[in-house]
Amino acid sequence: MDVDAILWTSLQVATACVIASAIPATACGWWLARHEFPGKTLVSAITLSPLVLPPVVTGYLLLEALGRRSVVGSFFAETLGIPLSFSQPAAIVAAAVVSFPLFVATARLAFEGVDVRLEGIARVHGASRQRVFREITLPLALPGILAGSLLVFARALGEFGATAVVAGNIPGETRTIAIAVYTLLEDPEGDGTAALLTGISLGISLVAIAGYEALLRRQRQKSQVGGRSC
Amino acid sequence: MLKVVCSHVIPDGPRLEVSLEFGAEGLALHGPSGAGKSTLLHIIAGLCPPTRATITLAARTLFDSDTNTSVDPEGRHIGLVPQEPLLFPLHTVRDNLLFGRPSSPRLDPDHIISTLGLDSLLQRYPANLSGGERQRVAIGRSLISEPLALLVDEPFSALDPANRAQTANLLRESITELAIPFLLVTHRREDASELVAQHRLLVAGRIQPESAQS
Repeated sequence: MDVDAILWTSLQVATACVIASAIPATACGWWLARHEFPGKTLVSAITLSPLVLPPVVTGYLLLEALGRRSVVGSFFAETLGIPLSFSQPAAIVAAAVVSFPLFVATARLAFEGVDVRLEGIARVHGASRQRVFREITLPLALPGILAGSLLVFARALGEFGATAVVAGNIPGETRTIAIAVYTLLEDPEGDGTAALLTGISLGISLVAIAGYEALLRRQRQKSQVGGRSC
Repeated sequence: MLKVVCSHVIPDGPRLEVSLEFGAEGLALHGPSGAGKSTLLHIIAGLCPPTRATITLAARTLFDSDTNTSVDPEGRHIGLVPQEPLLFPLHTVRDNLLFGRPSSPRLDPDHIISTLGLDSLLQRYPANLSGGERQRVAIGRSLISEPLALLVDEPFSALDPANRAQTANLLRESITELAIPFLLVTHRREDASELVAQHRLLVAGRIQPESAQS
């Protein structure tokens, strides 16, 4: 089994997953942190659902929604030439959906950690909502959002269930570390490669988690202004 | 002239029932903690929507619950120096001071900066300032934004006597130069006496009658 190809596929899928999720998850986290609206609990529960659903079930739902027989799947495959099942885009979508709740939750926490009184005082000093977001809120929340992206990267690297169902096990396309290790378990001579991939996976995950912790610490230090809320 | 008629239920606090009118001669509102003084400032600045109120500044309606009028905080041009300075942590002192500077300034920011003794602190970040220095930056930030009215909440609480006198002078000088309505909130009447002649006592959300003021 080509270890380099497996690593490259995993890194491609995990990186694309982070890039694809970054803007929607940040927007969603900000919206949930800063707005009260009827049905917020329901929206929050729907956002978090991929975290509690068995990944295989998420994969099945994705296959139903994005497979070639679905409206969305056939549009992407036939009109845009991007198949959303049994392809690398499918692996990216699966990893993004499964890790989306983590991204939203960390982004939400990051925005909740920014003192709303700073935003208020910035507006009193003439800053528009957009300027406040750009110059005050986002820079203060950024370490938390970056921490979330590292967590999502690590989660995407380890994603197995949904990816196996919706993207399959195509060498060089969708065979990520987790899927490769599962495949190697069925091979009597695959122990060495499986151990190597497990070690690499463990190393990347530990580095990502350490980065996550460091960024969270930075977020807490940066946004401290003290005092009680208005 | 800034006019406020306000009725507001403060969560876990008293009901605020206030009618005030003040101009460039200034008004000091003093009273015990929890009387609703800071909440009133936040209502006027647009940071806290009141239950019912009418707020006008120089004949311009900033808030009117009867007509559903509410000007955003950034459109009110009201300066607010909060009790806690609330400096932007990632901005240097200089960037904090110039945050709300108008495009055609009337006041010289360098004069304000030097009077407040902030020249040597311009490149520092708020985390590296003392409580008094932060308070002076917050005052400077509001003055440099050249507001149409100025609301100041306990401006001297973190200042030593020397800085306190300088800051009081600068506030007096700037208010005279800008000729804007000025409302000072403090729990110590002595603080208010240095800056304005008119005083009102606020207790449990209500302005006390003249006989109770002394």
